[in-house]
Amino acid sequence: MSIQPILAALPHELPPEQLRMVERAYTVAAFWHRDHRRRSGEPYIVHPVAVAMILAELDMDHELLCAALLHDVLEDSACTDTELLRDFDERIVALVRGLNALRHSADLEWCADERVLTLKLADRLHNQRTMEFLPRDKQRRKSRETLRAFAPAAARLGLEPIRQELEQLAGSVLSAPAEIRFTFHTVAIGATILPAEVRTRWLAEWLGELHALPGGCARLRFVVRLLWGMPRMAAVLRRPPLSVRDLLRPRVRVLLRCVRWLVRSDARVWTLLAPPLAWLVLDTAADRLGDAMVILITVPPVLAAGVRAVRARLEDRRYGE
Amino acid sequence: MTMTFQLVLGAFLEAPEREFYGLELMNATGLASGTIYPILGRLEGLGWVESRQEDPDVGTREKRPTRRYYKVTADGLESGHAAIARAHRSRKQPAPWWLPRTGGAL
Repeated sequence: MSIQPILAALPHELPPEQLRMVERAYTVAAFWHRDHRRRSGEPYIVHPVAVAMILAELDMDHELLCAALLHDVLEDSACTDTELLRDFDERIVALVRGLNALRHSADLEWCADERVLTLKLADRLHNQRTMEFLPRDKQRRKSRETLRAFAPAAARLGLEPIRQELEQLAGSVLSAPAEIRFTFHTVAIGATILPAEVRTRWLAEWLGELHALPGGCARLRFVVRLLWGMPRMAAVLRRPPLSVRDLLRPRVRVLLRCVRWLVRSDARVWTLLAPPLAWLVLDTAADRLGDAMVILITVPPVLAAGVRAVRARLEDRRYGE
Repeated sequence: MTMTFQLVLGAFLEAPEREFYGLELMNATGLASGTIYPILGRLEGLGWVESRQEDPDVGTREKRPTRRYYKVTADGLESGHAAIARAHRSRKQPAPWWLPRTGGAL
């Protein structure tokens, strides 16, 4: 985890000084949350980073991004106000304090600070997106609260995409049949092997599919097969990013091309294999003639089969998959 | 390139303008959920398809969570055609009807 996803979500680049400030906020938050985990089992820092990403997508300034990264530090760790003030501007700390002061949903109505309210909405949006690990009662209570207080607050601030997503997420929690909840929970448990940074995105997609499936049997089949393919999915998603693979690719390609050229012709392969084979047979024959005969009879067919297999494999895998 | 990968890629290449969601692809290819999503993840990683979240308003109206739609990219169109043509050539099978045959280069 790093601040890269936040920077990627910003529509423009931050000046170096502001960038350093956001990096510092990330480091401080990662330090204070180092022993914390979310209910999903993910490191806690995933949450502040996701909240900051939501705000970055809304093109909010660096102070709000820093406050998003630090928003749970005062409440959930041993970090104090004074310690935060040593590292950050008073305005950033005031945002964090303002957020912590909004303890009840009714507080959203009187909150006059639009920036604090925006921060609170981003926090709720990410919590609502990742609600599947909460107990069912709490999910329903929080979702009702979202519809009653948070969605109207988002509408008041003109944050239409946030309002829509909050309403849609809360609505789906309150209207989901028990069977979908159960199957989804099973998928969510299986998905813990996926990389933390993309897990929510895939879970949200599968929740949509579960709703679209026609009946209990179809859902069960979907879930069982999905769980069966989950290790493969994890392997695919955990492969090195393209940039690293691109570095490796030219060398691998050259190597593959050489091997392919070699195995394409029997003459080339046997020119290479015959001398060591002959040496092996002659060396063995010096002591035990019978063993040499056995080697002469058994090894060449095995090698030939191996060459054929490699040839077929390389022809089959000419393209990346 | 595996046959299942070719099937999914083929579904995208046959209808390059169309957006698919996971279930649609499952129905179009006859593949199981555990096969489709790793392939979609791989295609997205290669940059051959891109995905977008459905407009939340649609989900709210239809009282269901939003879907994720996948569409083949320009790079995916080009590389995908080349990859499938090569896979068919190496297996000495006739290429599918929708594959462009311009100049025989693909």
